[in-house]
Amino acid sequence: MNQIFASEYFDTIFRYLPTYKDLHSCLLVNKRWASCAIPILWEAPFRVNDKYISSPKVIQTYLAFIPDSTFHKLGYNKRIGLSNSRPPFFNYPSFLKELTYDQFLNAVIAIDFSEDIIIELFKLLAKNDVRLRRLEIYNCLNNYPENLNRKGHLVLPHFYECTSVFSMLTYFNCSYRWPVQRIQLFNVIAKYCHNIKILKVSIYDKNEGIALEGLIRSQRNLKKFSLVNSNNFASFPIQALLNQKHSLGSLALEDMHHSPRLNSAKFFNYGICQLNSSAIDVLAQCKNVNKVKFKHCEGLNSSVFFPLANAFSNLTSLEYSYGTYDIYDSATPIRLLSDIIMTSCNTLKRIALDWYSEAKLDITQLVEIITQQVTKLEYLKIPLYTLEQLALIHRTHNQLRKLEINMNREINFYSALYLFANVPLKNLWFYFLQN
Amino acid sequence: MAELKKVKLTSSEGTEFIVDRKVAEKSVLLKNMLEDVGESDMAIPLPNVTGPILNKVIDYCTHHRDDPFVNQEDDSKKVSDDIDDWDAEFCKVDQGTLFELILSANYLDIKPLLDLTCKTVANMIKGKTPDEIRKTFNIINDFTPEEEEHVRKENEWCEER
Repeated sequence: MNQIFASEYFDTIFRYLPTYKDLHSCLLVNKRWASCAIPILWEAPFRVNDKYISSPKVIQTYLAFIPDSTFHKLGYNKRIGLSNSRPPFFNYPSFLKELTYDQFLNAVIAIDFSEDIIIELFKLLAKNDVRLRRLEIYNCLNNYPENLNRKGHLVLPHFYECTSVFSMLTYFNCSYRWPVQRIQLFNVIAKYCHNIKILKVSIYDKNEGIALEGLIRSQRNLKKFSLVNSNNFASFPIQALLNQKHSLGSLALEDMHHSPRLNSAKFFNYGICQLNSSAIDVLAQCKNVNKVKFKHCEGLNSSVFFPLANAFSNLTSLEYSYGTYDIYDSATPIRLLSDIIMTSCNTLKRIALDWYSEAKLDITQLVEIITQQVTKLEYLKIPLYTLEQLALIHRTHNQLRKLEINMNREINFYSALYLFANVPLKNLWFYFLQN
Repeated sequence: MAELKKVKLTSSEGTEFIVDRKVAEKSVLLKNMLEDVGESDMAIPLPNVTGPILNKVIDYCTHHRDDPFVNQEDDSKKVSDDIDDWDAEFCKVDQGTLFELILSANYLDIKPLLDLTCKTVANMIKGKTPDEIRKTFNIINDFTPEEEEHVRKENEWCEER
């Protein structure tokens, strides 16, 4: 096997291994296997999932690349991390491709949260010509004690100085509250990186909006754009999407009510998250958009949805949700969603509707449109209020790969089960609406 | 009924195979060649593929001739446990044949076959210790004990995952 296959084959095979533990076993098979496993293991050592958080041992290995003299200069009487009595077997930092900043910070904190050490690690990445593909910056303000956050923030400008690290980004996520250095970060990326395909961001004031506008305009081929929590300033960046109208295929506006307490939103008469007419006009020109998501955008109304329903006539995916509070006018989303779905009824494959309104909404007409007009539907998630609506949905089951129904408690659960008793859907889910 | 167009392929030993054009076009390499040369009775030589392997490849392409082209996103999570029964049976071959299938799938540019065969090898690795992997594939360990310990220490974090 060793002699037969070039490294690319090993790479393809190893990427099918489900766990790092399997890759770790490959690493120890022999030197050839090790050289093929290492780039995969070390491209995203700070990637996390539900089971794992990043390990400080990653940082300990990184620290082996920092010379003793640097530790002395920084006031340490001995080095920290792995011994560097012999050079590390591989140049581990050079393989980094994905960085989740919070997880990186987590791993450093577990050893020694010296700002100087973090800065040295940034320099190490730049020195090894690291070019990240993915950068995610979450909500470090919320995760750590205040003093650690302050330090975490203090070092970030040093990270931004490593400009080459950002030059190959294709995915950038900075979508949580993080008010301090966002403008500087947007400006650096706008200047040095033009390859972002997926951008997920939030902004909290006009200046951040202007910086984001510059970042969007500087990209060559943006495909997915998600704006989160950005409320009154959403219009700035959205107008910049005009530059991306040929490539943009996916648009998401999420959590645009800003406050988790919608009572305060009510106070403002849901006037938050209004897009100005220029922004709406730009969106209507992005004719290649085929996936849209509106999550908790209670402020958006017909002035937005009607032009978009006409412009986005080839949607394959539509997601719409709002929260646990009453919306301003419960009839509005039903009417608007019906329009959007009708316009794209020949192309829609995925419809996900989700809300928890206490009011009993009359969605029978919407259900009829979905079941009678949407011919290519594969995935449907929908809240239902009557057994009749459920019966309508039942007629479409043959074409669906997955069906999720949020049932009002007034629907008799056993009647629902009986209705779907002979349906061979592998992925059928029933939930109950909260009320 | 219109006659199905046929294509002649020649393996490395010179054995000729006649297949439906639709079957041959599962290979991106052959599809491009056929588009370039247009209508022709000339056999297409495949010097990198032996007869028995070409036979297996044709079996695979015939079975999957109507499968739609799937453009998997590069970033999507790759899984190795989604092999259907026919494909699993197809891959029940000796290691030499499996490796030759991988090389041929790559040469002929048949991505689903390359994925299938690579998944099969990944499944042979899954859950094994380094020593078990060496035994499975008859590989010699060229690390010294010190080197192995050194590499293990530098990569200790992976063992926790």
